[in-house]
Amino acid sequence: MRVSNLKIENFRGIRTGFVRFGKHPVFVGDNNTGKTTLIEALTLLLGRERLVRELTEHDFYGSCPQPVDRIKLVATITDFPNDDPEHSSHWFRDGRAVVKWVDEVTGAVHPQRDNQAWRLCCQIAVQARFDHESLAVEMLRYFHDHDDPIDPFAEDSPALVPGKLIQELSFYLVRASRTWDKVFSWGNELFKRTVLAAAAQPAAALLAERDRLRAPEQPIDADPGIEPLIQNLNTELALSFPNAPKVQLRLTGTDSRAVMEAVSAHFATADGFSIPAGRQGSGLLSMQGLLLLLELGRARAAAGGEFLMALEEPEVHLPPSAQQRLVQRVQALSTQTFVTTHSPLVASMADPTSVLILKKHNGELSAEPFLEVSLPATAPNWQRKFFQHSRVDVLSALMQPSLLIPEGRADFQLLRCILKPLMMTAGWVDTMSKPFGIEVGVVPTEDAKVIETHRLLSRLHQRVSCLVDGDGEGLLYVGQLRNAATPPASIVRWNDGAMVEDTVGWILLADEGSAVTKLAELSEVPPASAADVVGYLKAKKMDIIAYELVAEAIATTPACRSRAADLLSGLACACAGSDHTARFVRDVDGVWVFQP
Amino acid sequence: MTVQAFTGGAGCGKTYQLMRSLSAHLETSPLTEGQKVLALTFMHGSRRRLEERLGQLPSLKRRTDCTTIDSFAWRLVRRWKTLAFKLGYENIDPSQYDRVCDAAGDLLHIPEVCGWVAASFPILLVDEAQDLTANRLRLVQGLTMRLQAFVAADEFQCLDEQLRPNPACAWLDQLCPSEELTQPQRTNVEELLNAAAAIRSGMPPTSGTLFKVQLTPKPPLAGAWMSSNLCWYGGGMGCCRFQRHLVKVEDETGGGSWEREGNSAESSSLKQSSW
Repeated sequence: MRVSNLKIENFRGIRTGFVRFGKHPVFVGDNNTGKTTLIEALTLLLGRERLVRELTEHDFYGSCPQPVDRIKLVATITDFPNDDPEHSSHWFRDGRAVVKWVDEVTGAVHPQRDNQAWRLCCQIAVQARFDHESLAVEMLRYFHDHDDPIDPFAEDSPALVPGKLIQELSFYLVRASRTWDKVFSWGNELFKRTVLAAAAQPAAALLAERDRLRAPEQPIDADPGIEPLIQNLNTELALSFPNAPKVQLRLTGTDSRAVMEAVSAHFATADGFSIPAGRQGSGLLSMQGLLLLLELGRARAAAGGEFLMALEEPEVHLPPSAQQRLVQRVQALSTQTFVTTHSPLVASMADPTSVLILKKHNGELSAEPFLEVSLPATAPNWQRKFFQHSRVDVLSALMQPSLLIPEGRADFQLLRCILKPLMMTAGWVDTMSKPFGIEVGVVPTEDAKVIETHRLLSRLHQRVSCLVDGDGEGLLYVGQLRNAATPPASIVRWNDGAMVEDTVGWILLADEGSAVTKLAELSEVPPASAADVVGYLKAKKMDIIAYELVAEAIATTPACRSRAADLLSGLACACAGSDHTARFVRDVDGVWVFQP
Repeated sequence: MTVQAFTGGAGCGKTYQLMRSLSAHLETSPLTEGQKVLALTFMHGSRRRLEERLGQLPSLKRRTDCTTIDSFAWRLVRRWKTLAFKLGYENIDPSQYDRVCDAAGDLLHIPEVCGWVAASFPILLVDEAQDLTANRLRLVQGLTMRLQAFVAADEFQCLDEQLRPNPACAWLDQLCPSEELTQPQRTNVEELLNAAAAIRSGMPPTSGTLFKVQLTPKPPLAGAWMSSNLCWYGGGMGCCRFQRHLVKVEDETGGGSWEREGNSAESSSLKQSSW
């Protein structure tokens, strides 16, 4: 079974939202777009009691719930064996869910299967209200029959979801903060569950340990250091009580439960030292819980059971290679996974159709797949490159508040090459009114497909801008972009007749002498002027080594560096639609034109 | 699924036979986890009696759901509201009893819905089936497509003159050879049995030593006659006759308590039947 879609009303920062899920969705999005809220909503719907956090007023949209306000969540569960309700009669019968059919293309749920492509589904809902007398939040989890408003708190008997079915779904959540140190211990529910599911209780060893603790070889109370004190205590005790017992000092409560709870994982290194988990780095600590979940998943998978797992920010505390392995292991073992991430690397591991870009506008959450449907074999080359080879760059750009689509790849590479060494220069960001690298993500446009790329990305991002050349073709693009169904947030173009290489020339001109000297290795015949450099760059498009050389020259030449800063912060202003720059000025059509 | 029907007059042991067949069936195919017996009656009074009887079956141990047809119908419609809407039942309200039963009947003729009920209730028990109106009968018929049904009916005890000929009895007749119970079990008083037999065969009953048959000019006067002639044990059996109505009160236990059969949910204490 898996969750096909989720509807959210009035929960945390989300006033309303609807999200459809594939098998292994990965959520990316700016901060505060609702990634965690989505995971928490799933937890309220599908998690065991233990996993569910107690709700407060702050869990209601606006934090100030009135008596009539409700949190409403509805999850549509599908993928039942053979799509036959009678095969899953413990889900579908009187007192449980009613039979429904979901159209996974649209997410619509129907009362009858009018189309064979529709899948059997059941809907689970949660409603919560804030009680103004007890000052507590009440929550009910029930089978959702229809979309007419119902009040499960007033209605006599909504069909509640029994714990058994929740257990069958086996939903686990790994939160972003996961640095608890006592993970491999019986004090931890997950550890207990995993031991029972994937192994067996080490009863003999635990009992032996208990007996050893009851009768230690070298009792603490018999140590000559403490012994006089114990003696005195015993004497005093004997005077107070007839038949007084004797004081003994023992580790733990000496029952098996105390022994189990006292267990603490140590990690032995190659040099023979064994260090407790709590003293380890956070990478190892956070890995412990994940290891247990993987084991539990393995046991569930072997038994043919369901295993749904939500994993927040797998990149936290882990090196990139471990992130990749972890995500792939989790996905391989689970029926369905939900991963949130801020890492373009993690997002790029997933199939582009299952990467969901979250957006929130006025409390309304929407989620768009990075790629709507898998690319057909006939897909043009530029699309393939964009969604496959370049997807780390594209996803990384999508995570920025503003997105820039340049006319060609040369713009992307040059801007990136120039930006990189500049970002490394201490205090450089402060010189900009708008920090370009932080606010604007640039995508690697393929084959000058600026119009097509804009069409693809305007679906995914609220602020998409385009940057075109100042030549005839660039002006043509400007015309098309202005007439697009969703015109770009800003259209930016280089000055008349110019392209990005000319702008690089303009930067070099800030201190032509020093900068050009540093570029002696650019070509066989060393360039004598900025114009020579521009000429070379235009003739040798996408010569990354040349780009890096130029970038280095700019970064190490103070006058050039401040021009570059001026240019980039100006570009960031243009993308944000802000007039706080002299470098880009709006023309009569509202197009931001570069002013060298 | 199959239907086992039991017909016969009052006191002939219909309910007894119903329980015996149910027990026998449970022995060969016991309920599995989460399953219950669905027991439907027309009125609350008979629901309570049936519930009590079912409670006496050790093999069931509270695994019964005893309810009136109307409340079962609403329960079903409420949960399948979207599908009912699709079938044309918009804005359905629990007080629209007949419409709710119509909707439930239509829903139960959809295999998925019937299978959904059958998953929880593999067995259906219907008592007093003669009281089923056409739409309620349709509901029961829908259920019998998937549920093993045990039905008891007595055409003679039907409360509703509209239901003549009786649709439920006609249905049972053509569906299965029903077990006709003719031997009254509640009493062996000859003159009482003769009077009952006379009434069932359309003949006027005659007064006996233990009871009187009295003609009153109008139905309401029968009540008045009853109340002025009632007395405790010994004179405790009365049967009065008037133009087209019969009022019958039986003293079942022979003691001071009155077994009463009502024709509306709770209130009426007398049972009317056409002469």
